[in-house]
Amino acid sequence: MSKSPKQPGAENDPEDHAHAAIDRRSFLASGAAVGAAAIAEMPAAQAAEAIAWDREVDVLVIGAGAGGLVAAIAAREKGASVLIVEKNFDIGGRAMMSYGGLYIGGGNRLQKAKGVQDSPDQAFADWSRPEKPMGRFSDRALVRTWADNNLELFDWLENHGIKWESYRGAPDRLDRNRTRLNVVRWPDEPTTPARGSGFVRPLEKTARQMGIEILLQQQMTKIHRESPLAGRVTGISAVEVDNAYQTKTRTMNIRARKGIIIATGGSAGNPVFRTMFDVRLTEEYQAENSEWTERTGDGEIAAMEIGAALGATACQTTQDDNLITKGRMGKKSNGTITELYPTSPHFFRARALGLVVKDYQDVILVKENGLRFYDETVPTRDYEYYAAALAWTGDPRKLNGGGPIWAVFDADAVTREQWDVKPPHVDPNGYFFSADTLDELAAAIVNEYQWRPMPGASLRKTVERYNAFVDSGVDADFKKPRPMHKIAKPPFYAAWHTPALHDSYTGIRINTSAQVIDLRGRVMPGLYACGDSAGGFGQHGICRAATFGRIAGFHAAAQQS
Amino acid sequence: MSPVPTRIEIVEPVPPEVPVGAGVTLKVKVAGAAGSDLRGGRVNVMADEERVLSEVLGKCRDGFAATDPFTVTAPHRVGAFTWTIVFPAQEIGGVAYRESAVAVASRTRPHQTSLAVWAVPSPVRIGERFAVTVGAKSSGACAVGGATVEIRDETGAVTGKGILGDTPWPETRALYWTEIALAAPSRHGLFCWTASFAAAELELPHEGSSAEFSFAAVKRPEHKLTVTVVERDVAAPVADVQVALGPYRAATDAAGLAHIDAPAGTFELAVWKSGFEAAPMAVEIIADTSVQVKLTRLPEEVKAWG
Repeated sequence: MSKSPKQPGAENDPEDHAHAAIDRRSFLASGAAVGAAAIAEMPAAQAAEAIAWDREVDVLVIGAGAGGLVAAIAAREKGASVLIVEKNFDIGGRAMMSYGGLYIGGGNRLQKAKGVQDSPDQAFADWSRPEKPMGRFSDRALVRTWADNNLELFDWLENHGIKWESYRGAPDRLDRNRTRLNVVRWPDEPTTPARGSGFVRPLEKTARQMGIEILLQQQMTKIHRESPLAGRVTGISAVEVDNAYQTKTRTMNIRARKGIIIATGGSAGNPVFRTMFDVRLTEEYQAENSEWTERTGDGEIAAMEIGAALGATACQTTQDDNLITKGRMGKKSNGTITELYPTSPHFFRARALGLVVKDYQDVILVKENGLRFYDETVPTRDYEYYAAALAWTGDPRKLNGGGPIWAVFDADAVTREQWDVKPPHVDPNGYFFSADTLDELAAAIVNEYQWRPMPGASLRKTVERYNAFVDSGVDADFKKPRPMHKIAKPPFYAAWHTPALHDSYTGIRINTSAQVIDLRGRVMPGLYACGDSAGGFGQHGICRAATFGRIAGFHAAAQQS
Repeated sequence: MSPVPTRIEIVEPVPPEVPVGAGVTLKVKVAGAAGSDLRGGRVNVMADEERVLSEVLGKCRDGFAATDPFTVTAPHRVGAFTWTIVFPAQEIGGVAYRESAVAVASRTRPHQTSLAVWAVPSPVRIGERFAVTVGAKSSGACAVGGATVEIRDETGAVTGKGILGDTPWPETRALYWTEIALAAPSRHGLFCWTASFAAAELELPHEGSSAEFSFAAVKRPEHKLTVTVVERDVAAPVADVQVALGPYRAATDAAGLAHIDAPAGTFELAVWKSGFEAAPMAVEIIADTSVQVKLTRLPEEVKAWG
């Protein structure tokens, strides 16, 4: 079995340049340094900023999601004092609304009990295979590290409170020899069918028992470094925020003696950031799981401001996997299968449960102009569908992005799908509409991203044409398989069904020790990243976050103060 | 002592165009000389030199006394109209005030109408009677019951008429509806007919509207086709599968069976159930017959969300 370039919990090593996954030799050989070499060397570490520190701690973790909680526990376990700052009023981050499955295997106890043959080598082979874009563009050093840590991580998570439910029924994504391992859902969490709470709540309990302090509603605004682009990171500034993430007046500076771990949940909710990689992903596309986390790239931006590079940016544009998803409909934050119940303190952000389309024969999907654009029945990972959804529709002021997508259906579809088309299932405040006729339905659509009133005649003609396809049996426009149901019986409905953004597959460049790498390929001493904030490994979900969170926590704790 | 001059203003501009009979919200404010307190004074809304409304000035702000917002009904005819808002000469708190007035101009437009056509059977049998349901809606939610809707065929010939009832269709705000009996075409094929609503007999002016609906006309069926749908590999029956034989449609029961009456001929047989797939197949009907269709369950990855 080959080993990853660096194991978690490595001894203190201030000269970490040599251990960077992208070591200097390979970095120079790759030619990537050509541009970097042209940049004038920054002066040696300048005088540190004069900062009045309000708090001091060994390891500071930014974000209390899957990666952040694991990192904090790992660092505390190695004897470090640990503080977590979290922007939300609750812990959980992206993982809270997650389905709660981990791509974890390597031949663990549960796999053996089922007779599944697996090994770290096999896990690495699966997740680095080139025929799938997610394997093709991932940093193989990070994939290798994930694979080599599977078995240890499985035991470690069990020992820190995680209870396993079972492996899912069939392999998914790049897996060939294992499936996603679900955790047991945390009781009484007002979300379903998500089990993500069964990952973050036990870890929260463990963290608190270990004396880890979690400061909620604190937004990191800056990471301090000894000099602007050189030297160790020294701490952060944070500002108190309210439930709407509006900043209040109280700020604090927190010094981190050993390390700072960025675990802020990725950048899918930041249109400025995400359009660096795909200019089509404009503001109308909502980030999944925004009920718990804004995912505005806070960690990425703060790290880049002090010199960090981004890693494996190609993973963000593979047009593979679930980078974009169809999601639910009838609510703004529609990107997740998870239902967040009205009893949740977070429901004010969701505003509705949303509707799930069980059969896309029951709806047509139209753009802001009232026109269909694709076969509605294609699976959620069909990127030609998204390319059509994101295509220009004629707004002279908005050339990028495709504008809202509306699911249009009738009373018979409501009966067939057994939808409840009233709040709290739908959000009539801009994201769900009903009317007596199609002309009036078009006129009723008033939404912050609908740049003009939908032309009523356009929508009516679209539906009349589609209904004729039901009679002829052939969708002459988009080849939907045998259109089955007319849209005819009043009342009529329009539900927001604009694609939603799922994972962040690029982020801060890290090495196999989860240390952040700068634009010249150098380790940024004391700075770590994990989860969706870290780039390099295009693997969906919690296991990637946990793997590099644990490595970061161990490594940071081992640094000298 | 001579009366104190006054100045009257409209607080919010009136839209340049409003539907006939619509309620137009106005708010008026009046000022006198410095120190004037006009609270309790009256303002009148005049249309065609007749007073249609009288409002009282209440709250005082920035030297003006203002009315609460009040609603005036726009004329029932289409065209330009002007209202004059008058602060008549009057005495308030022992002080005499002069008259002042302001004109409000706008236009009325007819209400829009729109239609829905549903419960259209398809296919219909050549030469037989069938019925469709037509609903009409006024953009002003006017009661349009009693008005006539027509059905025209593809040549424009009227093939049926109906009188809209007085009760809106369930779950709608004001969709007045009727069922219209029709004769099916005398030849088979796909047809696109039009429902139209002149909206000429209504109390308020409305613009007419139309909507198309389609259906297939077929020969009288002669044979019975039984379709059995099973899941490939496990051979278990699959219920609630949509089955289409050309224009004929049915759904499977718990035993995976669907029955379709069809004339002789060759048709494409297509089935649909979300999460499964099966390629369409050609079926020749020459007698009562049975066909088995095997559905393949799509892999989890294809259906996955997250």
